[in-house]
Order: sequence, then structure tokens, then C-alpha cells
Amino acid sequence: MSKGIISPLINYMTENEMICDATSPVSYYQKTAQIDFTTAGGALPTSLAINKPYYFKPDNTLDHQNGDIKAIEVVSPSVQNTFENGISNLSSDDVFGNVLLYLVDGNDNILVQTPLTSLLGISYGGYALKLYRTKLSNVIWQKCYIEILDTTLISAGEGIKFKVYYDKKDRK
Amino acid sequence: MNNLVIKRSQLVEFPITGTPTTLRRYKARTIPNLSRNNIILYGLECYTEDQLAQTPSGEAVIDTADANQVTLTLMDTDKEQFIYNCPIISLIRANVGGFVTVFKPRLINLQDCFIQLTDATGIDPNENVVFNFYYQLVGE
Repeated sequence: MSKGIISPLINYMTENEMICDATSPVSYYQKTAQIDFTTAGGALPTSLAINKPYYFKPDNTLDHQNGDIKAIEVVSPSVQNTFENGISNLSSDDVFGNVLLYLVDGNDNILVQTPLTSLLGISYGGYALKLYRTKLSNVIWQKCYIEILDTTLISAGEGIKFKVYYDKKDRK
Repeated sequence: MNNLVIKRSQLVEFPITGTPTTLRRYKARTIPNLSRNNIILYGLECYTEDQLAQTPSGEAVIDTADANQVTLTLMDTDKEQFIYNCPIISLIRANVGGFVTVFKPRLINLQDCFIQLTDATGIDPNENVVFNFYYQLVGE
């Protein structure tokens, strides 16, 4: 098989993990994390509120000492409209534009700030799902949170589910 | 076919302050952690109201229908305009097959970057053009 020509720039950016082949494997492991908008109390605000952090539950497999986060995807209502605990997904993909995700490290620095619309997997050419690929090796999961910018079209009893692709530190 | 890998990302707002005026330069809102001249920018994505309902500071985001009236110029720390008058509509992921725009890594000088309106029709005062800057720090 003949080798293709690789530009020095592509080579540089690939070696420095700024880009990767969209069809390459994402990670060894994947798990889900969910935030519900409920009035049931717990660590969450008791009602839907704007500009307030909704923190993820602690999960030390995603913390920096145990895992590297390789990609994050938000689950579209067209993929799953009701979650395992009976909570409904948001009503449509458009509503994800009302919510921001923050990923935070151990020094409380915000590493990633992005609207959830960027986390929707987009299929391309029928064979590759373009994901929000990351190289994050210093995240503290329980410090990560989402923020609602506008509660329009979001209701109590709904939730947001993320697929988190990760590698364990001892298996790269 | 390559995909961006995100090491750090930050939303950057370019507010259209006052009466929207054609060809006037609108600069970015100051972000302390992007103002140290140690930011290597290598990817960029633009949002309109379809992708982002409001800015994190609670202001309006530009209408999707007006996105073809705005261009972006980015300047590096050598004062070189390495992205010059790029129409922002081509930086919206939904318009380019889901890809994030990737370019040669550059030390960004955020305070000299600006947007311009090629046509102010339909653009409201204090709307914001919002970008997600994908970057890494020098030495990372």
C-alpha cells in the first residue's frame, strides 16, 4: 500500500496531540454522567436557576489521578429521550444552546468552557462520529459543572446525560 | 480527515457596542487568562444564537441570519494578522460538516483581534459575536 504525503504541519499537530484522525479509536473506556433538574434536593439547586453551577457527582475514575478524559458527548433526545431513572432528556437539540459545560482542574482553573451544542456528536460521511475530543489529564470531576444561561424550554423533571470517554492512567 | 483535540477552551465575546456601524472594529471583551501572551491558539469555532442562547455574561448573541455580515481578524504577538477578514459563517461548525476550524498554532494577541461588520443591517446594539478559542499554554 502506498503511503500518503503528510504535511509537516499536520505531522507536528498530530505529534503534539492538537489533532487526531477522526476515525481513530476514542478511548478504552466510556461511562455516562447525568445531571437531573429536580426539586428533590440533594446537592442540586431546588429549582431551575440561571447562572448557578450544577455540579457532577464525584467520580474518582474520571479524576486526574485515575483517568484521562478523551472525549465528551452530550446525549441527544433523538438518541435517548428518557433516561434509566425515568428522567426525560431535554426537548430538543436546540435547547442545549442554553447550557454551558465547565471542566475544572485541581487548582480551580477552568480548562474547558463550552456550550453543550458543541458536544453533540455529528455523523459525517455515514461512518465517523465527530466528537468533542479532548486531552485532559488534570480534571477533578466533582468540581466540573454545568450552568444554565436561560431556563426557557427546560423543565424540572428533565436532565442532561453525558457520555465521557476516558482512559485509565495505568492503561494508555 | 482530522479532528481537533481540545486541551483548553474558552468562550470569547466580541460585543457590538453602541450603534452597529459598518467596518468599525469591535474588539474582544478582556479575559484575564487569555491576555498573558502565552496562549497558543490552534482551533476556533463561532456561535450564533442557534448554538448559544446567551453569552455567559447574559447578553444577546448575534442572530444566525446576520452571521454573513461579520468578519474576524486575528492577530498574533508579532502583530501579524494571520486570519484576516474571515467571514464568521465559515467558522460555524454546522456549516462545515461538523468540523472545527484548525490552523497553524500561533501565539495569540487577543486585545488586538477584532470583528467588523460588512453590513450593519438587522444587527442590534450590544449583540455579541462569540467564539470558542481552542488553545494550549506555552510549555504545556
